[in-house]
Amino acid sequence: MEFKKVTAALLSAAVLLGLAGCGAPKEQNQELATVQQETQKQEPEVRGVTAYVGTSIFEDSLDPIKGGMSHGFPFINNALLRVNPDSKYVGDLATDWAVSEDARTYTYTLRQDVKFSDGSDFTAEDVVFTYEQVMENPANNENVDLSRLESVTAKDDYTVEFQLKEPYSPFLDTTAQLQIVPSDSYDSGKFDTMPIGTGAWKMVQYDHNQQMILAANENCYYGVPKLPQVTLVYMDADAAFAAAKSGQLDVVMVGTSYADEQIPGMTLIPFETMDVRQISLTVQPKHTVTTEDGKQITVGSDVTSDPAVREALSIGIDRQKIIDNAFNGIGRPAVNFTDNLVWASTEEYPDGQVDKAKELLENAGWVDTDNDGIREKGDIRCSYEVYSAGGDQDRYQLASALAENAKELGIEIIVKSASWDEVTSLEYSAGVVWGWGQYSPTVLRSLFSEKLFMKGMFDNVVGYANAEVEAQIDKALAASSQEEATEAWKQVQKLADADYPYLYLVNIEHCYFVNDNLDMSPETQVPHPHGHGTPVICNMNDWNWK
Amino acid sequence: MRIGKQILSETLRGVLLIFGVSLIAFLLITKAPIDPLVSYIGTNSTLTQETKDEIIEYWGLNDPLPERFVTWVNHAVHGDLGQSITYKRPVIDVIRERMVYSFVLMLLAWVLSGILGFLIGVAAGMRPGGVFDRITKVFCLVLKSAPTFWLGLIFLTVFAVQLGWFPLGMAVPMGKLAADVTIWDRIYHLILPVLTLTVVNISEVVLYTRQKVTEIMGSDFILYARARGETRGQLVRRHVLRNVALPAITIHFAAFSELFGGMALAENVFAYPGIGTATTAAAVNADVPLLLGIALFSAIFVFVGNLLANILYGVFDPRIQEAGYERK
Repeated sequence: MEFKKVTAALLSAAVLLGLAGCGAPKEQNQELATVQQETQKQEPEVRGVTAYVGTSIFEDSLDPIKGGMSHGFPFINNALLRVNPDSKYVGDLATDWAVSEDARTYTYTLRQDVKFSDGSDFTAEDVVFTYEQVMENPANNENVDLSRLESVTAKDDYTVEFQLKEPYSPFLDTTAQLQIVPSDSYDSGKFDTMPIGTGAWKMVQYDHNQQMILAANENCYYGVPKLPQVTLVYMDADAAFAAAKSGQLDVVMVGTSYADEQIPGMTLIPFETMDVRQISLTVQPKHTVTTEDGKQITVGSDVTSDPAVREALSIGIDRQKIIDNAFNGIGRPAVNFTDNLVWASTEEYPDGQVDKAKELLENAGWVDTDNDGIREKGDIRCSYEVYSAGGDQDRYQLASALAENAKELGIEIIVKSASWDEVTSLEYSAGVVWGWGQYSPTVLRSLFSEKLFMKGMFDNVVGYANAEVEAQIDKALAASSQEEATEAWKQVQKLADADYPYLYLVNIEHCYFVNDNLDMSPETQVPHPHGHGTPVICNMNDWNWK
Repeated sequence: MRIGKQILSETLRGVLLIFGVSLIAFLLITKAPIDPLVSYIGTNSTLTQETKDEIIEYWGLNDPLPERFVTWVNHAVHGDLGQSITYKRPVIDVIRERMVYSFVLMLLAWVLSGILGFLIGVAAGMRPGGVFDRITKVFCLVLKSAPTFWLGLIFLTVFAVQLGWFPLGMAVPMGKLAADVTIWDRIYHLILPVLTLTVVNISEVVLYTRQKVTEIMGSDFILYARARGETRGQLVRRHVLRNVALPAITIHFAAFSELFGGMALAENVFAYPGIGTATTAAAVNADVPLLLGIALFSAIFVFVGNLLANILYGVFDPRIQEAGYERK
């Protein structure tokens, strides 16, 4: 009997302890709620926003000197130029710029009366400091390429002159990427998480793997943000969705597979991007290459090295059906880069031409001899491996939907998963689902230049080599005006696309569930570059409660 | 003399263990498909081949493996575990900061699962085959086979999403400045992770205690005590608890390694900023220095756990203290 009492007492004590544990913070929570309610009563419009925009923003340094936020949507620091919603470059910290006849001198006139958030003045000296820092420490910055910059000088307080070693038209893009840091207070150790800048936001608190708390910069020259605070949180994508469902987030980035979910008080908004998904179709026949450091790498494929297979895939598949199956119908079919890029080729062709594709394959000798639904040519099976890297679920679904579609043409696509590290040795002999989308046309050089084959980690993995294309790339790089460069870049695409080295599938849309009371100002959003859902912050200073 | 010998042998064991762990971790990482240069400069780096070669030369990446290991050990012994690529800070600082979070989480879960598990085990073992015993057994077996992250997600769904009692992850409220965060905020955010980790770790103690209690209840001295007229309560206090406590503590200390593994998974589910989330971040970013540092730290942690168990045996059971380690 006595034992029972003791156990009962102990157990109830434990339960009470547990309850006490729950009870106290719960009260606290109520207290918090009341505090929040009170603040809302006083100034109902000042509530901050809590948003989940993916985790990649937490994974890299925020320091511009180390390549931070260089993809076109900075929020703490500003570059000399920025892109506008029409994807055109306009002045940001610069008001005006000029390129010399020989295309080697770039002169920028700077905006006056700009202050950094610490109160110091922005002058040409800060620009010179920033560029020189990057030139001196190139190993720390993989995103901003200043290898062709010879010198940067301050002509006066508000004029900066860049001297290039050789003509290089994408230097203009560079000046839109590299944001300026204050020369007086730059601190390499601190700026990784707490940079000081001229932008609309100040970093108030940075908790690794948890959150960034941003406050409005009252000194901002293009207007003080309407929201007092924005908190960007770090979470697992599933946990973020759950948090939104329980009402703790105002903005949550989701994959397209969530598109048919419902969250009370929130609406799914897909945003326009320049982000395309394409699959590399290696153009070289299968062989082995010994790299400079002695590694043996398999290069090429006997299937996709046949132009007929590449063309048949490109014109024969049904992109809309693939998008419906993989992405719940979200995204636009793409056969090229998107027309919201100034330099992109807009030449299109109809897909779903199954009969024509089959005819192409048969004329090239690809016939299904053993009646298993997949064509053969001699003893080569018309089969190609495609990798979805880094555990990206959307890309895996896309490749699977493509495989299903390609079967109708008698082409087998085997979908596999690998880490990005593994992909670096597999990419030369198998297909990879790539995501491209950036303002700078240098991506075209990465995709098609023979000089970059097996040099850069992800450059020209298909082994494309075309002297005419190479000449156009050189012409574009040496151009002295953007118009001239754009013309050459379009030629590059026209020539290379005729060989179908990449199978374009979709121009994706970035999806977010957004609080119905929050206005994200879609009209001032720029088309999102590739950025795993983060680019939605590009116009955070225009967000407001309705 | 004997104590001196004991300390010496334990220290030696510890040093050998840490050396072994770092050697294996080092070998595994060098064999992994990670290019240390690429994870440092990034895949899009614009550096020329000459500059890259210089960095490789400076870091000694082309040196023979034993030489690289010796260099690393030499630095580690001097307290320099390198710079974390992910957090851009010294590895030792990252581990120190995050250890505090993980340590609180693990300690609470460990103590709670120990106490609760022991009580439930005794209660179940007193009436083997009873309803409470059977429910407990099934419950424990299910928990033992359930993956930590899955349990964590279930808890999140039930308590945070559907009931809305607890926050979804993190160690502090979203958007609240560090200066405004109270101790209650921290406790409030700890409850769900601690609960998950407690439940994950409880089954072993419960099942073990239950088994021991059943054994003891069937022994001759209990029969004798009953014949003397002792009540159940007296039986428990005078005989059962004393005999069960030692093996239960042993098994609970031995569970340190599992606790560590569970912690890593639970932290990821709850976005809790401890060692566990740092491990995943390090692995994803190919952050070799941090991975090695964490491997080393976890080895030390588990070793200290086992060492504490050894010392506590002596405290709880004087027979072991007298006999020392010679008889083992």
